[in-house]
Amino acid sequence: MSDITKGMLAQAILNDSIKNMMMEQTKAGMAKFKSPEFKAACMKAVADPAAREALIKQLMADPLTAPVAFKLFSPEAQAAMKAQSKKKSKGNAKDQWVDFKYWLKCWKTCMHQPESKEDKAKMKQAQMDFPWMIDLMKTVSMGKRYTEGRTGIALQMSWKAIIHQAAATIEQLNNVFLDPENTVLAQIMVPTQIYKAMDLHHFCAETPANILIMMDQHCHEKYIDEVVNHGLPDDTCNYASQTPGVVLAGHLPNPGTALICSNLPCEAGFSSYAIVERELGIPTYRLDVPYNFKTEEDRAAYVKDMFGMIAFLEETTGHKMDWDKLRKVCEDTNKLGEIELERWEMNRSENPPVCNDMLWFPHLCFFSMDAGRADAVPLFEDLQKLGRRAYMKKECSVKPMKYRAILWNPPTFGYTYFWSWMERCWGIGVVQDMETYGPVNVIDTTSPESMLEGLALQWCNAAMSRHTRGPAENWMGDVAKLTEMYRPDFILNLNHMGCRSSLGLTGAMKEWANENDMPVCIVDYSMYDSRVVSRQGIRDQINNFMMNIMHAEPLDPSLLVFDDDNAW
Amino acid sequence: MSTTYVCGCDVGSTYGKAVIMDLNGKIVGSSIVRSKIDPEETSKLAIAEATKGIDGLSMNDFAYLVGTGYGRNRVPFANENISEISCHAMGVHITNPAIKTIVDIGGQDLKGITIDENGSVKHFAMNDKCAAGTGRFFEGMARAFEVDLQEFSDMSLKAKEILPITSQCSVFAETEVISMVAQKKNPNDIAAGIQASVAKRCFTMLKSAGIEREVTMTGGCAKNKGLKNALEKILKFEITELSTDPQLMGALGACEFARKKALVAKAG
Repeated sequence: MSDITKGMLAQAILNDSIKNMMMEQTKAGMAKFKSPEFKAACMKAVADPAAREALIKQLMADPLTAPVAFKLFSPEAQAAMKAQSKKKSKGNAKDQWVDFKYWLKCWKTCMHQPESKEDKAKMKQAQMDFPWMIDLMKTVSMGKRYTEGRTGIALQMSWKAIIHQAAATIEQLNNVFLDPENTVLAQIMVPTQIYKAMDLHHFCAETPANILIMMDQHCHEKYIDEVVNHGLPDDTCNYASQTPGVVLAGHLPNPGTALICSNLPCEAGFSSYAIVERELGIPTYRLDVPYNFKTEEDRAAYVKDMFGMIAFLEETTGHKMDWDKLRKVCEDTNKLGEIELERWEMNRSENPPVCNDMLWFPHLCFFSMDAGRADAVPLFEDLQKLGRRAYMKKECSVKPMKYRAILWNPPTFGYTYFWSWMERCWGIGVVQDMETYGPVNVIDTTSPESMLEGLALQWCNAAMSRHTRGPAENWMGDVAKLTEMYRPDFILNLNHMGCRSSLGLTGAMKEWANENDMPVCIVDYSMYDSRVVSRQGIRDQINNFMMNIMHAEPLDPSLLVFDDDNAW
Repeated sequence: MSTTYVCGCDVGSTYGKAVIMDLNGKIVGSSIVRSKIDPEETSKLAIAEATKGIDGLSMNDFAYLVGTGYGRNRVPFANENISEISCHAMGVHITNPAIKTIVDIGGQDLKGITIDENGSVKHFAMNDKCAAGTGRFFEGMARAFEVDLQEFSDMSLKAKEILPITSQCSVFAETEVISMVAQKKNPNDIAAGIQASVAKRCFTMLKSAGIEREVTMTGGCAKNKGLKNALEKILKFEITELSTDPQLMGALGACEFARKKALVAKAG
């Protein structure tokens, strides 16, 4: 839905004259469709192709019906629909039913409303103040993009994680609008377990751009432009530049309590949160991951910093740390870690059951964005059961799986269709990736200190911390280790052009790959901005690699080059 | 349909090339034509030109036809389309199996390719996003000097010194060159600076793909002696010249792939 349409709908709710005008237009349209002449023309069109053509022409000429008629009957739209229905087919009747069931569940989750009238009104007002919230409805289309062409157990796993994440995001929105006094604004990559133990909610500051991009892949561009117009250099990593853009545009809900951020993922992120802090004017705590955290002293500094963060939150919010609650949260975290290790282990088999987004998406959501959620445990237990079943049945999540890959650098958050495309065009399954993989430690829950030490180790080893705050060995060493463990056919390096440090490391990876005879597919792109390298530009680089280096035949040649306008 | 001849057609951005071979691998016809707006028209023109002199052979008579180049997907009569990276590798390999690294400078892209002992691509690096260091760049530079490409390529060989061009972007580089010309700097020295700047880009691309001797150049710009000279200075060794026109390497490789397919079909 475009911003103009969203704006009109919002205006229609507020402004009676606009509402009446829209109602009248709708009524006129309905009257036309209900008229005996139109019905007769439709009946004639069913039997007579010439009459059908004439009716379509008439509908296209009428300004009232033209937009819909073009979308339904133009030759381009017809061809795209035919191609889509062929490609989106989800296997047998059972798969179709599973897909439909979860699609409905996803809608139900997205349409969730608070119970009281007062809260409903508050959320309605919030949607008008922050129009990006309407984009959350597109979670359903995100689900469709992730699951396109997917069948069997993999289809269920994908939908379950997506629906759970949608519910978690909606819960965060409810928190910030309905209970702002008990909600803190937080950057991801900060231990969320602490908020939970303090009985605090958090609202992830990255939601309107970095997270919403998975639902609407162009929603964030205006925020990148906004921040550049305010003077941030345009070659700043757009992961870091989007959130200040949201703040500068006045689109970030501010609970007014406190902001918790970090020095992650890099200096750009550090400086961007300085803008957020200045613009919002709320008390801010910055939890800094030390460089090369492998030494005891450095980790002790991080633990000390975590104690500082707890003291800060106690002072600014009035909430007290409940160490018993933290123990429970840490136990849940340990349980999740255990399940995650099993999922990774299963992927070492010949028929990896959790490839691509099935691997990294739940990890990203419930280890990085919102770790310590009690309801993540049943979700992961479900995923574990499904994974085990697929493993026992030797059912690979990519069907047919032709190539095993390890993904280095973060996944393509801004291009959700990518995974489905890789599966269906080339049969590529990512069996392990940089954002997901990291040493998993068991948190010792015997004392407050031991719990924070355990959490510190976990968060230092988390995505974008291990690789940006550690020495280069963390990056290169992990690649070598995972190559040995997972026996990939190649390494897929999604080389985000905004990241200076990974550009340097990519050079080192090339040398390592040459020495070890490991093919590396380096895809130059911008993680969040398709205006830098287009979607087809991304696919072309993979096509070139697959054809020239892997000597592969595409599973579906029609997917080599296609118009992205027809992809969703 | 003739079972005697196969064809490879390379539809490039500035030139269309075609090579015709018999099933023994002997080249019987070739052509290089200026590209038209429509890649299909370019391919038809290139093939028609290459078939001239081969009695009774027309476009529909080949045992197998492989299309390559940026416009390869728009050659409707091709039996198969193969990426130009693989075709250049194969073309060079059958011309000189000792060559392990290729720098291919086409009209609108620049590639570094390393190949294995079978002529398969081992690694490649490619710039197809900007005009710097491509044939288009040289065309722009020659235009700035008001000379043709051949003349421009020879100018740097007469240079007494190399005047460095600092701009990587072809638009800004042209502006820089125009100001140097206006300052009455020696055109040969400016041309040497241009060749050195492109050679540096080629070297970066080669380094990215990996440099293994022997190294050769393909594509239209391989005929640019000034560039070859400048690249040799950076590499500190000689670039091997090919016995067949380097601009034909993509089409030749495509033709070799077509020959292999035709032989398999014949045997089957």
